[in-house]
Parts: sequence; structure tokens; C-alpha cells
Amino acid sequence: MKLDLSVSPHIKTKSSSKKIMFTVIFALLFPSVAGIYYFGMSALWILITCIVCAQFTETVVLRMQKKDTKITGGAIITGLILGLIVPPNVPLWLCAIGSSFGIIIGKMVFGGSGSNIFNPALVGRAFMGAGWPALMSVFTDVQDVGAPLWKDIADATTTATPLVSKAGVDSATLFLGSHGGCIGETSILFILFGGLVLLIKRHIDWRIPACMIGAVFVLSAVSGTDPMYQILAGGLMFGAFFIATDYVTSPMTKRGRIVYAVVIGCLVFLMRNYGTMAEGVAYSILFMNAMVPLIDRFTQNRIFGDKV
Amino acid sequence: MSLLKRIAKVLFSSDMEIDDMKELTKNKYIKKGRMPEKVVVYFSQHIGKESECCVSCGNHVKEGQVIGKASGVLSSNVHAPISGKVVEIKNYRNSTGRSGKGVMIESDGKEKVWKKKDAGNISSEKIIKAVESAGVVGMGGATFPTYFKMNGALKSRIKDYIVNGAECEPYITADQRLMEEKTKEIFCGIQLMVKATKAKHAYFGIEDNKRYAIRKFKGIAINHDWFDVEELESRYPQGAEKEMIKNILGKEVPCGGLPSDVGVAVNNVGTVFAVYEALYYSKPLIERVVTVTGNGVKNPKNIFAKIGTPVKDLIDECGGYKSNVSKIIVGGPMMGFAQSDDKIYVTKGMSCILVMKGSDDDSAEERPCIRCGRCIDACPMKLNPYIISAYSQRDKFDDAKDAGVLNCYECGKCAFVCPVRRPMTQYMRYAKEGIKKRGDTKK
Ligand code: SF4
Ligand code: SF4
Repeated sequence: MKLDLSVSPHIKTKSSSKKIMFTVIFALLFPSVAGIYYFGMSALWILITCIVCAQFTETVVLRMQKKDTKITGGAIITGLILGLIVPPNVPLWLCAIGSSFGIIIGKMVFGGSGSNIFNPALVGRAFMGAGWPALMSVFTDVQDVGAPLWKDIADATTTATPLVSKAGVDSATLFLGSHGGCIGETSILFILFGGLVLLIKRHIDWRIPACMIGAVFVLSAVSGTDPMYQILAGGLMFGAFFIATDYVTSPMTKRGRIVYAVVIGCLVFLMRNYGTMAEGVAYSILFMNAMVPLIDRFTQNRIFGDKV
Repeated sequence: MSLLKRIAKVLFSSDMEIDDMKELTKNKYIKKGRMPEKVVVYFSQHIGKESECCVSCGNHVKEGQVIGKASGVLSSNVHAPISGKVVEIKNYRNSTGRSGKGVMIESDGKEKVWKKKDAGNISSEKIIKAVESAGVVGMGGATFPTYFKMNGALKSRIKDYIVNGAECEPYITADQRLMEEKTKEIFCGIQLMVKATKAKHAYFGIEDNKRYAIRKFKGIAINHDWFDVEELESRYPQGAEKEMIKNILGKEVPCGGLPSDVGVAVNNVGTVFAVYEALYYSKPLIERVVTVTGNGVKNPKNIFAKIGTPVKDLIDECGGYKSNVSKIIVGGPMMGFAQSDDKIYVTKGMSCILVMKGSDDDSAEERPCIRCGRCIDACPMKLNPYIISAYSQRDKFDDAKDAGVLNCYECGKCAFVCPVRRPMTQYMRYAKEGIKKRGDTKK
């Protein structure tokens, strides 16, 4: 009889990082499906390009670093998220650049999985926005529902996102997502489906979306802008459920997460109302990513039995 | 479990909860163990100094006779569990992997009948004396000599006495069965303990998954206003002393402190039962309930076994091993010790023998931390296991100490919940040893 002598604990959770990754990917499929439904084949191609490039870049870099190149799902998530937060008519070459940039600069230079400070998808997105602002701010309108998916993107009309135009898009439209915007950000309904999956599985802490959205809602209400409109339009919902909740780039304690999310919400409000940009979610999160080590330091739990 | 509950469990399980696995043995009556042909009794079955051997080879010993006398701090008497002949005195390997002096006794087949007597009107000092000479130690696994605890409780004038019936470790059902089958006896034991420690109030802390035991004790509590049953949520490590005090009395034992610092004494139900036997039968601690379980044994059981019984005997009593056994653990799956073979013997602190089969232990490989924060949420001491393990990994013991590693009692929950399988509890041990070593050299 050969016995295993490993030390306690002798049992481990059934969860694993791999399972978590796949649940996240599954949850992201909800907004992806909505995006493809509203924006057609071009959206699908963008998503595929982003995912493939992200994974390809990661594998190449890992190979160069002579590290294990097994696919863990992290790069797929980065690619998928990046694809969901760009407009539906971005050229594919730009997606490829953004995606690779995000992986290399956002993740690999910090030492890879688990060591990065900034969310790699947002790094990619910020790079695309800074380098090719014109291409990144053209939004096609949704296709007629029921139009064939392969309908050429050239036929589509362009429009501005609700936040830019400030045109009165009604709440129902905002909720369902049949309006211009980034691929995965328009359909609040589907974002909520995905978010619910993550919440039920407790892969994300409810405090982050709740505090982030809550902060925007309260500030908008106080300052007299339509709070419903502020939380339904733009990338707030998507960011709150899928981006700000990224483990690696958010604080580790519950208290820390509350601080982090509330500040992001405030920044989003300030950027949207007093900044030059129509949208501020990506930059707010990026900025707070940088603050995470600081937040972590000051929000450690009080040790049991320690003096109050 | 109802269907609805089951669906809810699948949907809402947070991966942080631990399956209690008690179904294997929780409905099985405690079975009196077969008389072993020979036993090996260690002289160190308690945390303090080894007791002094007072028999020699060839001696005949009677059941219950003292064979090891308490000597020094936190030491405790050791008794012959069976009557027979001393055949060997040497070092035997014990369940922690170290070896200690022990004595092998060969049975002569005689069994002593312990007669019941009344112990209702007995003074506090007498109770403590009897507990001391009976060699009773903490039977939940800590093996802290009970008389020591009682004296400490008297000295610090404790107000509350807590009986720990949580048994939060998965698989183990020894205490649960004892509570269900020996309710009255345990209650008598509690009366003795309360009298001895002069506590004002007694609480019975029990996890809410033990419905039947709760009902039985509540039935008793109705007639005694100094005694309350506290149902606690079934959540590992509910049975940890500090956790239990906090959840029952709302008091936090200060860092590095003892329960007596907040006016409380806590004893495990098994210990209380041993106290009962020591007083009502003058019977020393020579037998205990051991849960033999896991899907590596054919027929899991709760056995009332003589101290010193070879573990192999108990496993044979449970029908033997199934094929491809991968691990034999003494204690529960969270805090127990993996054994290199089954040539060890039952001790006073051994509540469980857990035999696991090949596939029980999925050893997905370790990956870099993803900062999910689960270990922090899981830690009962509210430490940050990730940070501490990172310090420990780089031998930064002072930083680990500042982060509170000395508060860790190695419950194993941080390592259990970690999705990347970081062996955090091991890092905790390493840091604690490092700090201790450093302290030794500084002196
Ligand atoms: S083993 Fe130590 S650090 Fe880990 S959860 Fe238990 S008490 Fe906390
Ligand atoms: S050590 Fe494990 S449980 Fe703790 S934060 Fe890292 S991945 Fe999560």
C-alpha cells in the first residue's frame, strides 16, 4: 500500500481557477449574443479577432519566456471583454493591435497572470482610443431586427451613442439594447443575465456592481440629471459587472472593494458630466486599478481578538 | 434533503462551503470495540511533558492501573487499558510522525466491570483531583490536561462554562453519537464541571445539523435555568474554541490569550463524558469513541475503542480496506495527519481514522494567486492568508509575524477554498516554525 503523505487540509474545494474562468466566459456570452443580434456579423468577427489575437499573443510571449503555455482562459476573457467594449464597426486590424497591446503591456510585462495592475482589456481599449480616436468613436446603428446577419457593414447607418447625442432614447430601448453603442454594452438585460450568473456562483462580490452603480445613481439624482438614464446608458453596467470585478485588479477585502467601487462610481459621474469625454467608465476603472495596492494596504481586516 | 434544498444547493453553493460527509457514520450506533490482543500505550498522549513510566517488562498490569505517572508541566497520568502482561517498552511512532516512548501490553483476556457509584455530593477539589488521577485530557484533539484547565478556570473565577459539541470537522461523528446515546451521562458530566469550576452558567454549543442531539439536550435544558443549548450554524470551523465563545457569548478572546481571559472555560463533549466516567465509575480514561470512516473502508463505524488498540484492528472491524487506498488520516480531513502506514495506536486525542480512496483527493496543480480574496473571507481569525503566505515564501518571518501569523491555528480553511490550490496552511506552519527558531537563537 503506497500512501500519500501530503499535509492537511486533505480535502479541497471543487472550484478551481479554470472553472471560474469558464463560468466568466459563459456569463460573457450573454452580452455577446445580444451584441451579435443587434450589430450582426461584424460584431462576431470583432469578438473572434480579439479573442484569437489575445490568446495568440499570450502564447507567443509565454513561449518566449519559456513558461508553461497551457491555455488557462485568462487571455480569452481579456479578448472577449475587449471585443465587447469597442464599437461594432472598428476595423479588424485595429482590434488585433488593441488586443495584443493589452496582453503585452497590460499583463505580460507585469509578470503575467495574477501580477498585473491594470485590467489588460482596458489597457488595450485605452490604447485604441488614444491612437485612433476617430475610428473608435463611430457607432453604427443597430440593424433592423431580423435582417440577415451577414448584411454588409457598409450598408449600415451610423449614429452616436445615447450618451454622446444626449438624445432622448427611452429607458425600454436602453434596457433591451436596440440602440447605438459598443458591442456588448447596449443590452442591459443581457448584461444582467450574465451578471446574475456570476453573482449566483459568487464569483464576483456584489459590493462592486452595487456600489459602483449606486454611486452614479445617487450622484446623478442629487445633481439633477436623470439617474435612470445615467445608469442604463453607456458602459457603466458592463463595466460594473464584468470589468471592475476582475479579481486581479480589484481589492481583496470586502471593505476595500466598497471603497474602490464607490470611487469608481464618483469618477464616472465626474467624467461624464464635467469632462471632455462622453464616457468615463474605462478610465475610471483604470485609474482605480492603480489605487488597488493602496486600498489593500488600508483596508486589511482587524485580526480576531486584536484591539479595536 | 428536500429537492428544493438540493436545487438551491447546486445553484447557490459558493464553493467555500465544505461537504460534511457525516452521512457515512452518523446513524450508526457506537459499537463496543473487540478486545484487542495487544495494545500499545504511549506515555505522551497530552500536550505537556511525557508521563513517567512506572512498570517494567514482565510486569502484570490490571485494567485501569496507572502505568505512567504525570510528571512536570501539563502532564497527565496514563493507565493500562487492558489487563495483561507488559511485553515491551520502547519508542513507537505516533500519529504525528514523531516517535515516543510506549508500552506494549499483551491481553490476558480478563475484562474489568466498572461499578457505578453516586457522585452527586462531591466537592469541587475532589472532582478536580479525580479528573487529574483519571488522566482526562481534552478529547477534541488538543489533549490539554483537563484538571489544568479546571484549576485555571477556578483561579480566574470564570462565569461561563461552554460544552463544545460542534464537531465541525467533516466525516467525524464520534461526538455526535455520544451526544445522542449518552445524553444524560454528558449532562451529569456538565453538572460536575460546572460545580468544579464554579461557573454561573453553562452553554451547550452545537451545530444545527445535529437535530436529534439538540432536541435531547433542549429537553433537559427546559428544567435547568443555568443551562442553555445554543444552536450554531453548521460551518467549519465552528468548533474552534475562540469561534465558539464569540458566537455564543459575543466575546473575543484577545490575541494570544486564553478563554479564561474572558471568563470562560470550554470543554469538548467527549471530555465531559470522560469526566462523568471518572467520577461515577472511578474509571480512568482508557476508552474513547473513534469514528472509522472514509470511502476507503468497507463498512464505516463509530467504535468505542480501548486506548492503545492498533489502528489496523479497528479497520479490520470495519470490514477492512477497499482497493486503492490513497491516504490514511488520523483526525479529520481539515486538520488531521496523513500516515505512512497503519502501524499506529489509538490515543486519547484520536477522534477519527479517515481512509481515503484514490480519487478523493483531487490534486489540481498549483497556479499563481488570482487575488480572489476567498482565503481572506474564509479565515476565522480574519487574517490575510495570501499576504502571510507570500511573506513566508520569501522567508520574511518578521513581516509574517506583523501580519498576525501567530494567531493562525491551522484550521486549513484558507487552503481549502483557494481556487489555485495554494498550500497556504503549509506556508503558515513554515512561518510559525521560522519565527520560533529565530526566537530560539535570539535568546
Ligand atoms: S489555517 Fe490559519 S490562516 Fe488559514 S484560515 Fe485557518 S486560521 Fe486562517
Ligand atoms: S491565495 Fe488563493 S484564495 Fe487567496 S486570494 Fe489567492 S487565489 Fe484567492
